Amino acid sequence: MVTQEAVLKALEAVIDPELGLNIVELGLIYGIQVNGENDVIVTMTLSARGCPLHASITNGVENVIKRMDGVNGVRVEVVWDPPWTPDRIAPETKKRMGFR
Amino acid sequence: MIPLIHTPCGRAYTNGMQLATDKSPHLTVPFRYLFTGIGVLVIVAAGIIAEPAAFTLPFYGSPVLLPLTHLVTLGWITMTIMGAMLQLVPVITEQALFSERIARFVFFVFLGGVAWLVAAFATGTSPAPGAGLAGTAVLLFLGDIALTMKGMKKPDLAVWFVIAALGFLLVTLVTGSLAAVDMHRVIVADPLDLLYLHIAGAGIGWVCFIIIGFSFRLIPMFVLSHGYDESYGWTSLVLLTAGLLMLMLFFLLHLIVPGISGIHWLGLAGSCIMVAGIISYLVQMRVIFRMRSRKKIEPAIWFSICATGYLLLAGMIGAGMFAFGHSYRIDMAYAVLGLLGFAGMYIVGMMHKIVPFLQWYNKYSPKIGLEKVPMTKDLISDRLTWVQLFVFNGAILLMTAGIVEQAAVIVRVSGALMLAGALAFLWNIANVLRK
Repeated sequence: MVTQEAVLKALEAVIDPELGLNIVELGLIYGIQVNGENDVIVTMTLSARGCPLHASITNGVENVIKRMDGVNGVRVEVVWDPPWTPDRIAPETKKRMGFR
Repeated sequence: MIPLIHTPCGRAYTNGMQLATDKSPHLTVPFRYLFTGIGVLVIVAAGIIAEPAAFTLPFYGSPVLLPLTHLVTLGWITMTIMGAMLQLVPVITEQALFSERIARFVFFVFLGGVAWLVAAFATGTSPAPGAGLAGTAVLLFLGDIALTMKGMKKPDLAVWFVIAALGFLLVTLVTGSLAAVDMHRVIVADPLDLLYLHIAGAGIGWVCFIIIGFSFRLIPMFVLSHGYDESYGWTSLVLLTAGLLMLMLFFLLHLIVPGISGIHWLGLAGSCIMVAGIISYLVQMRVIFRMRSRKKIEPAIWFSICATGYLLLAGMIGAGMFAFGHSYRIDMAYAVLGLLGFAGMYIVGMMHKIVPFLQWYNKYSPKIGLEKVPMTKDLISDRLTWVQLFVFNGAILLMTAGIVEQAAVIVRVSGALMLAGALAFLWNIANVLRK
């Protein structure tokens, strides 16, 4: 059985190449659903609408989940509401990266 | 049962929202423009070293100054902006580039046109064929971009600046073409009035507007700034547009009514309103920087900060020229600060962010999540970018001083500095392709 925790852990491998942070630390993941047939739906956002990394990051999310044992299918939904703000970055991560 | 769509590699879901960068042209299309632009910058720097007196002797139409000016404005600045636009317009408008084939074709026509035009200015032959070719390329480019933007959603601040810039590019094209075909002054009595109209459209309308527009999208993205108020940015759009239109009307009236008097206030008011627009832009940038999450400012961003300073300086000199009169020295200093200081510094800085990103996107994007990939900053030398920042600033300030002092030797030294900066720039950017 694929768990939400395992998916979240796997998503830490997807790094924003401009910021050097993974998408979980950045707070881009809004939700993970796993159904009885081990289909995974990731609801996420990006740091800005029209972000040039849109395709890279969503492809990366698909790539890491598809490689997980037991996963049947994957769907990535990008939403813009609520919009992402830097407040979604964990304070300890901000401190480590020298962010405000 | 959750409806699943198994996507092929390289595509992703977006809930009806299209993938911006998937809609940009192939990497080789913007790169041919961008790298040609850098090559032209190297030629320009070499030209300054070879003929520094062209900048200190009061002769606007010299066979050295005219070719060099057009190499800077068309061969470097416009070539680079066109390449960047082919990549960025699909991103900021979330629309696919209308035609990649046109974009590929335009490059060769534009390059041929600029080469012909520059050669004609240098040899004293007719610039009309070269201008015709370059003009055709610009028209095709404008069409490609306009059709790309046609179906976009509600334009934001950045897009409005781009729209205004494209309109002014059209004015530049018309006035430039008129100047090229009217070498014998059949249509226009005083070529200087036409030249001023052409310069205002090109230097302020096209170059400044497009750079300011892109800065509203790129700077917040790179410094990670969110949740800021854009009212100063909108004010700058209104003021800069109104001021420039007044200035152009002033030149136009002089053009169509030779000897007209009593309209000096129009040009003065237009240039002062533009200074207010620049100040409003500066305040907006301050707001963006104050709201940034990334405390450390990278050297590429420092280029844009310095560029904004040069913009203010150039704007104030422009207004001063109307208020207190001008001379060849002031005109040239104004052009250097505006074109090399503002446009040049901004372009060099943003190239240090855009080219690594494009290379990363092309080479590493498909590998994200599958293997360890480098950061975009790993593809370019930060240290060399810092060096360039000081070298280019030194070159611009020395060149301005050399022009004001009418000292060709200082201009030559500034050219040597610029050549060193341009070669370092080329080396740094070219190395990105090897990583």
